[in-house]
Amino acid sequence: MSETKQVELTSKDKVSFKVDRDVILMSGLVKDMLEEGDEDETPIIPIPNVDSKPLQKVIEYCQYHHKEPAQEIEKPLKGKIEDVICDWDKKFLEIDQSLLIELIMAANYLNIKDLLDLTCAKVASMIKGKSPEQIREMFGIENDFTPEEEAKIREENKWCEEA
Amino acid sequence: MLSLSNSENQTRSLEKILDQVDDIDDDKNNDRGIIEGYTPFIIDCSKFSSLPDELLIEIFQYVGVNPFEMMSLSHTCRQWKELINSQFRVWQYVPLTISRSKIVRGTKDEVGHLLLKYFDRFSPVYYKNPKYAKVYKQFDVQYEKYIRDKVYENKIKESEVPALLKAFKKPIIVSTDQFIDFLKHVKKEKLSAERLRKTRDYFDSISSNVSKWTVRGYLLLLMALLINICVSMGLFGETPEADRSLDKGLWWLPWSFVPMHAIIIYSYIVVAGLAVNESFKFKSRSEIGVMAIFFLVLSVLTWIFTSFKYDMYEKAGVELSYWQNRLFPQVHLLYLLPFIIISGIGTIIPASETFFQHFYRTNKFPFFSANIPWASLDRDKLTVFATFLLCEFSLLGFSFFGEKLGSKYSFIPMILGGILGGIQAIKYNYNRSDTTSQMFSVLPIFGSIAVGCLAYQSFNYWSFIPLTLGVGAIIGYGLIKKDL
Repeated sequence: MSETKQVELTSKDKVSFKVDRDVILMSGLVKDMLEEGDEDETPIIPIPNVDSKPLQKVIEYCQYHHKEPAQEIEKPLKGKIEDVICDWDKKFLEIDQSLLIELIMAANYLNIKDLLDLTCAKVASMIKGKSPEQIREMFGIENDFTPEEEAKIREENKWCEEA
Repeated sequence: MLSLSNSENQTRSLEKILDQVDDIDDDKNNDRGIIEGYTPFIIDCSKFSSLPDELLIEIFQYVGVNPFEMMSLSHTCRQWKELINSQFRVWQYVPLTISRSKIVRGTKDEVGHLLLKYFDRFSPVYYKNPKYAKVYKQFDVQYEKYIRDKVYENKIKESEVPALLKAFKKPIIVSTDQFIDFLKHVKKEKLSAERLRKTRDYFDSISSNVSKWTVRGYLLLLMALLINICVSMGLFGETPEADRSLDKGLWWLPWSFVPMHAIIIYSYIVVAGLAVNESFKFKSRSEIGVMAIFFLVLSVLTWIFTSFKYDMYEKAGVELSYWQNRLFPQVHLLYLLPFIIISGIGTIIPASETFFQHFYRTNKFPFFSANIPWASLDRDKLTVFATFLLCEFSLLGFSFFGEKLGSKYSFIPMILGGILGGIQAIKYNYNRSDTTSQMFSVLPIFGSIAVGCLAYQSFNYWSFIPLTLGVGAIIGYGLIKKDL
């Protein structure tokens, strides 16, 4: 078992993680880097854009899913995300919002498509069915519309209600 | 990485950051130092607002279960609104998409059907709207760029590109503005459908009454028409204003009948409406078009007969006003137009039925050739054809060369045609037990007698007696037998 090659990832806040090479190959970025790099015993790969907390989650995800490929989530999301993903993923997504956003950024940076889809779908599931006010409140988005634009929005809403 | 396929927005925001950095570089005297100066590069990854556009598009693709959801999303903030209104990929999975091959080949109905499933039963078919042609063009370009970027990132092989471009699912609705336009359109359609439904209900409700008085109803209409004509004639003998007092006779009588005009027009609308309702049931707006044709016919007929009326007035010595002269030209061709059209139809239909199948195409000039078996042609139809052709000949001849030829010679073909048609009609109906058709069969002869009398200017009260009595007899007989 000790024969499995390992890779060392260093996060933005200089925390190192030792991961099996097979596991971390799920990341397109790491895969590309490993192909280019020398055949070290334990190559050290810096991930300067990702903090240790999301990186740990990413590794967790890869460790579970490198054997069991995730099911594709259909676009657009019908119903709640909980209905279409496996139990492990459900538990995996029980995280706070800021970590979720960090996870999306990390998945995007590391180029892990399944994780990116999962996290994006999770955010979508949070947004779905909510009013613009609720969305703004949830994600701390500023309402930057001018009064004229607001008036236009009200008119658009009127049309939507009449339809 | 998705974020590598930079959208314009991202490039712009990056430029902004670079500008900021430049500004800070300029302020080197500032004590805050270099370390803080580069902070704009370190994006706070845990803030929602730090998500790049590409990732927002990914998220929106999951959210977009229907255009209303997209509408609501676009009202969150400016960035979102702009994204939703400018990026085709946001709409790519909203269930209002259609494959490109279908757009090229698809009929209105097919595309409409997709929308029907979604929005009641109305179809706008926006891809044909020139207003949005530019938008679609832009989306095509965006999509191609997106695919090329993927090739560049080695996610897609070059060889797969044509297939992907072909299979591109093109959203029908691509921006919230367009969607609002669509909603407005639906609203309009709904109102129009409502109006049509009301019209249909109205005609359905009166049709049961009308069917009871078919013969009498039409006779009533005829009577009203006659009175209307009399009234119009009466109007022309206008009494000067100074003489308008009650002891000066019945000068006011025609005026009191003026509402008749309205009744006539109303009756015409009802009859036309019933006819249209009977055959089309007022299901779509095209039925309004059919109604418009009826009214066009009515107005053309009115115009023609009014012109005729003024011509008669002029001949009677009344001076016409400038506009009466301009608007109602006194031309033979115009008065005869209804008859020319009727004769034309009477000529074309039997001719096409008799001859058309014997024509065939050739490769040489004049590209058509005829092999007509004269002996075995349908003689009845040929006679009808000849009759109407002769009538048409007379009518057109009188219209164009009436001055030179005079009415005597112009109407010779028509009189001959009447005799020919009359003989044919009598021969055809002689052995039939149907009395009405037997009575009809003498009308052409009577008609040609009347035309003859008119043409030779020996018109008096007796010239039309055969025709009038003939028509009267048929109507009377129909009323007695109640089978008209």
